Amino acid sequence: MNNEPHNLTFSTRVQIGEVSCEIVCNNPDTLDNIKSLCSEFITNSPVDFTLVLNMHDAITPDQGDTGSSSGFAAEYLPETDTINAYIEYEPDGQHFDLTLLNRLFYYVYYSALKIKQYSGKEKPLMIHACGILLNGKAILFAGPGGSGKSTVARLLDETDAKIINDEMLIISRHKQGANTFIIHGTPIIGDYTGRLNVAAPLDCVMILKKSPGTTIHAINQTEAYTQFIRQVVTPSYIGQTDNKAVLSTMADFTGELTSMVPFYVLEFNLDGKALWHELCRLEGLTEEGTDR
Amino acid sequence: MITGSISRSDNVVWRRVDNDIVVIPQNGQQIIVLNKTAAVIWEMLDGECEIEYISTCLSERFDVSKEKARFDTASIIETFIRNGIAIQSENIL
Repeated sequence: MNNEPHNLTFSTRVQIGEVSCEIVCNNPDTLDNIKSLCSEFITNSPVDFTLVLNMHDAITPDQGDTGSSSGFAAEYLPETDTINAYIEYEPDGQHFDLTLLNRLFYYVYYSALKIKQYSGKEKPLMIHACGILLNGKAILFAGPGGSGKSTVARLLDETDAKIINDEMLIISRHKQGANTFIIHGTPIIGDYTGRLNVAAPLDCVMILKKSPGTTIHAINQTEAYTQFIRQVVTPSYIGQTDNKAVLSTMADFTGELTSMVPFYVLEFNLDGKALWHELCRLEGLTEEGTDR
Repeated sequence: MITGSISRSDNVVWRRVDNDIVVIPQNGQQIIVLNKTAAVIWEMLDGECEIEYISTCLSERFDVSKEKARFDTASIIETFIRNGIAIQSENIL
């Protein structure tokens, strides 16, 4: 753990799953923005990892490689459990590309997991999915960008379901080794504004498929496996080179998940009532909340 | 024509899922689910088994003629190579 003081004055601490990340920034406006966006995830837990945001009006060259896009570079400093990020911002000092923050969050998360003594049987993974909380359990809606994760979140916004996150979640095995997977909310920012810092047992996974009608049907393990594995966020950290080991981790995790958790395909359109009806039917719930 | 020994590419990860074999390329290309015949061949691609030996095993396992087994083996292995999931170790004639 790294509890060393930083030269930069402005900081806050954010919970990402079991990882407590100290965010240090040289720009108070940017930090205030992050604090506001991540208000559900502010924590006082001891720091596992530090993210230093160096905001500049021009990219600082040769500051590490994340497979970066323009305006962003980062380096991992293992001796201090720190990621130093160099981010170009607009001249007004206010504008900050939130997708960069998302990328940094999962770099931080996976980098911290690499060093953290994780008490579970296996280390968790992040997944591209919308997660909802219904009847105390989590249901995932998984799919690539454009598949409708945020649309599902909006359609279910007026129901009894609570949206955990519409973009990315953490999934872990139960610590006691039971055949239970736990879903954790993340501060990752999607299109839907609400995000919950909660953990709940995973009930089932729905693979999203846009369709003229709304139906839910079960799929076999092979189909679930091939559809789901690409939704696992590659557990890479800055400087990592063994891509085959990373893919093997994803393959094994997906194998376990698909063998233990029910998988469905959700064919859906923009009919929120039909979607809620199908979910309630699957879960054996009454449809209160539909018209609220 | 492909002869000699063939091995699975180092750039893929593969797993037996349920009763299928799923091949996952590292480069993000499409995941491949092998049919029954392709799965038998895939499991023998250890870089040591030659195509002739694989086709003989296939002929016995599926009770088909050696000619058909040889044709199917070569065809499937060519598809593996074309998709970058297997590599030829030697002897391109």
